Amino acid sequence: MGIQKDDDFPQFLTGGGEMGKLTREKDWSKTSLGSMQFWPQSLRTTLSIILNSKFPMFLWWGPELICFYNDAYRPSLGQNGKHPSILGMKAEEAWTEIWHIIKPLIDQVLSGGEATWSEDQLIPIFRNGKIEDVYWTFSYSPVNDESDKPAGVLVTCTETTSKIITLHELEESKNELEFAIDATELGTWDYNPITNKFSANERLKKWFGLPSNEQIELNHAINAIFESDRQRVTTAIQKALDFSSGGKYDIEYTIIHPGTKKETNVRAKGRAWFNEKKTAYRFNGTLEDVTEQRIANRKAAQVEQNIRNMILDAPIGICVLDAFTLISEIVNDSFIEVAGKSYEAIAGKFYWDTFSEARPYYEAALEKVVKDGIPFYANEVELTLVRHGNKENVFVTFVYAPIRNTNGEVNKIAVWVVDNTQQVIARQEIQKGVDKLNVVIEASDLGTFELDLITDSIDCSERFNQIFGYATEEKISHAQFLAQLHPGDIFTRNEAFKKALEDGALHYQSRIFARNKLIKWIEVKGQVFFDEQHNPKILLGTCRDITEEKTHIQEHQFFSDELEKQVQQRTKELIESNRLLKDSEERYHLMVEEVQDYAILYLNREGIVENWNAGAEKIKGYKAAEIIGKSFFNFYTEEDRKNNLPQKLLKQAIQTGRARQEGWRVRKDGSLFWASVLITAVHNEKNDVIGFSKVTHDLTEKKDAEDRLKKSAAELEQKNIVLEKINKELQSFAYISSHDLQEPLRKIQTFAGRLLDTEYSNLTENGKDQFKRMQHAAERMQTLIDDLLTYSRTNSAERKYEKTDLNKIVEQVKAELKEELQQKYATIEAINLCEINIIPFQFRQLLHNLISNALKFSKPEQPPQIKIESKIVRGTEFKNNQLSDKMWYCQISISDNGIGFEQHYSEKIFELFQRLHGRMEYHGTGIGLAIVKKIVENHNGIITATSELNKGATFDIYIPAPSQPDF
Amino acid sequence: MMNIGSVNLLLADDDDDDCMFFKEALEELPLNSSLKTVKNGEQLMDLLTTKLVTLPDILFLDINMPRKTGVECLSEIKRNEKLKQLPVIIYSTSLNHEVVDLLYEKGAHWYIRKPGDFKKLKKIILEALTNTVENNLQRPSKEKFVIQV
Repeated sequence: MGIQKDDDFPQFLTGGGEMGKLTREKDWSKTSLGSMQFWPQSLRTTLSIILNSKFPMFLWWGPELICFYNDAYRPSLGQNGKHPSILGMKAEEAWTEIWHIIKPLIDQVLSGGEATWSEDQLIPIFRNGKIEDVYWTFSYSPVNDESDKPAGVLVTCTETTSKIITLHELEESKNELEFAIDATELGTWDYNPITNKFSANERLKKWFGLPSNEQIELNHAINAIFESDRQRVTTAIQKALDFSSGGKYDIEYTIIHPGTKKETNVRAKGRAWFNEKKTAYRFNGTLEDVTEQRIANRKAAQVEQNIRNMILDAPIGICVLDAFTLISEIVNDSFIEVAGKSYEAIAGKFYWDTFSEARPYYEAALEKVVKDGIPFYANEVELTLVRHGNKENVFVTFVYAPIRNTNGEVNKIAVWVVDNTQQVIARQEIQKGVDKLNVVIEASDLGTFELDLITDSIDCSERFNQIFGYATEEKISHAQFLAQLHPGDIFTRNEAFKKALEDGALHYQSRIFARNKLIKWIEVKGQVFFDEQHNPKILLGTCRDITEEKTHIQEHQFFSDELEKQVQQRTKELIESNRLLKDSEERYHLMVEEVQDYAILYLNREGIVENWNAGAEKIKGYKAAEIIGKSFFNFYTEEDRKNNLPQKLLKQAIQTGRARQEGWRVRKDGSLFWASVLITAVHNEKNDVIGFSKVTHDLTEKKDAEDRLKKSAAELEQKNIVLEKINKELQSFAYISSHDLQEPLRKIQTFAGRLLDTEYSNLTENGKDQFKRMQHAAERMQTLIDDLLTYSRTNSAERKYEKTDLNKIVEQVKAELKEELQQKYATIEAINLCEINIIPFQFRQLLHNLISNALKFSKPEQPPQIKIESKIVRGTEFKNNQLSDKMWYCQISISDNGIGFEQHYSEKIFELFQRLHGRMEYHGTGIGLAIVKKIVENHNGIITATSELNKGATFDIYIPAPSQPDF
Repeated sequence: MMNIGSVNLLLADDDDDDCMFFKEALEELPLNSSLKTVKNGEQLMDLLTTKLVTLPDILFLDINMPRKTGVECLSEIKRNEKLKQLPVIIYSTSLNHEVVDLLYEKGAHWYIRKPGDFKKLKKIILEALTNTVENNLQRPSKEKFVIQV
């Protein structure tokens, strides 16, 4: 039966989708229902409805409640669940897990009860490999068979699991929200603008003091708002309800509990909801209690504002920087003033951008403060700041003070600054003033004193002591000073003191006996300082030595008297001479006309002769009538006129006042004369040149004489040159001859000496005598040659002046003459010898010769005493007309105690080869003093000799000294 | 250290007589000395720079010599590293201050003026030698440069 399924395809299973197919193909013969062909019509009809329905349906049929279901039901069975196995199964087996739930329902329906309705019933079923909570809305209805008895139960159902889950989730989130709202202690409100009803949570109502009714009028709530906030809140609500505002609502206000009067600061946040007509249909939101926050904020703001105000009003410059960025956050006026920069240049700027000029000096210090948190102090440092665009040097005291946050980290730096420039400058000024005063006091030679009027102790300056003749550091009492007052001035002083004790000012002049017995004039000035009871306390004062002034005043008085006398005298003389002048003016004109030796004429501005005197006529040959009205050019040679000499002379006279010239001029007869001309410009009162006076002197004779003189001078010069040449030759001849003569002479002497040593005994007595004479002659010759040589060397060509100490030269000469000096027990006394500009070796020669002479011409019975002294004196001091009065001279005197000479030889002795004694008495060549004289003359000086026979001799030498000596 | 008892001297002088006086004077002095003489400046320099193996202890130098003067010789000696230590005693007829100054500046040790007396000659030579040796070849100050007898 079951085999012919295709043929026997039941009509009721037509369509029915997958489940139709499964139902068809199932071998139903094994079930209690038996093969399909035996199924009753009621079952078939019911299955046809089920399988073709798109609504999920299930059928239990027969006593065993065999399971059927359609495609629409299938998803409720899930994957890997009961589908498709439960098709054809007994209900009890198919739904084991829920059998206890559904059995009663099924029984109820089968027993003839009404159909059941269950909504969103949780019936967990096994599907998708596990037991799932599945919600159903379902109905069990009976299906009757042909006997009109319920044979099956039709289940129509909808799985509502997803709906329920959504609902659950919704509920959960609502709870969470409420919890959150609760947790945040927010009030919530909801307002329906259409009904003007307002609802809120309990918390909000509590704040507002609202009744716990569900719905409240909005006005009721508004009334709880602080009066001054009310309008603002209303406006904000209206604004939020206006579609164009976007519906946002965010406002803070204060509410007052109508009962407790408790104030609450709240922040309301919400939004309005609009329908298609852009009408608000809902407006809801939250309310937050911000009272504490506000109070805290207000407090913080107040504190900050206080600090800010304190900083801003502070007289000290303060600038607060962020420690990390060094950007200025707060800056006060004092700081701006010290900085000399605008607010904008400081506030909000990087500190070192503002103070780039100070950056190189203090950047490191500031960094260290940030790093270490230790303040940096700079006291009265000098800074160059750019203030108001200019570089300025200022003295500032400033601090970089770290400010720590609550964690103890440095987060701000306060820069405190005070401008000390004024104080520093003032201090410097004061110091300067004090210094100046001291300088003035020192410079003024003022002695200063401080007299304690109670103890009478006095404290005085060094200068004060000096004036009174004490050592600077001596401590002198007031009484001691007073004792030195001149008795004649004690009264004056006491009166001055009395007055000072009354009105404070002390001033008097008096004489004192200074310690060195000198009478001095002093001037004392002072000021008395009084205490509060006007008792004199201290006297501060100065004392000045005015002795010189006093003397000067006396002298001055005398001088001015004298002057006045002289002025009177001069005035008298002037009056007299004025009178004389008048007379002389008249005479002058006559005189000019009569002058014979000078041509005196007057030219007008153009050089036309206007008057003519007798001298002019005599010199130039013109009579007055012939020349007046004619040009003075006539007097010049043709060549001079060609060279415009007359015009040039006039021009020069105009420019410089006068023109002087010497040159040839032409007489009337054409002959020439040598004229000296002086043309003087004559001015009127306005200083315009109105003409010239011309004075001409005939110098023809003088000119001739001069020409002759020039000629002979030239001849003379020529002769001089020749003479000099001859002289030079002579000198060199003298030198060479005497030098070369020495050589053979020396040999003669030496050989003679050798002969005397070795062959003396072989000579006869006569021979010995003659031999000795020969030797003497040779010696004399040697001396002569030496002297001549020296003399010839002493020429002016070898002048080489050196500043020389005369003592040194005397020492040299002493050494040279050592033996002679010892032999004669001679002494040389050098007194006060100075340093002068001389030719050293010549001067040595000079002293050598003079001292040699002194030794040579000494008295045999008396040891020679030679005295050499020098001094520098003005020419006037010496009674010698060869010395200039204007010059200074060094006088060197060499005197001895020798035999001297008669004064009338005092000149002769200096001549060459002049001797006063026979050669046997005093040997010598007569050249020595000539050399001395020549040396003195080489030094532009003079030498004199003073002596008396047997009374020693004095030689005085005068050499020009450059200036007076340094005393 | 030079020994005044045996001293090697060199004399440069063109004058035969003066050379003879010098030699005789030296012989009469109680010294064990040797003397060599040259007749002019060229010979002197030739001898000092090339011929002589051992330098003399002291050189006596005349100023007026043919071919090369004493001043020129002195300059050359003092410029020569090998010779500059050689003490030079000027031995001259004349005594011109300027020449004396010049010679001192150029480095001469002592200055002797040839005397017209043999006894003085002996004395002055002895003094010059003694001074040179006793001063340990140091030069005197300028004031003591000219030896006076």
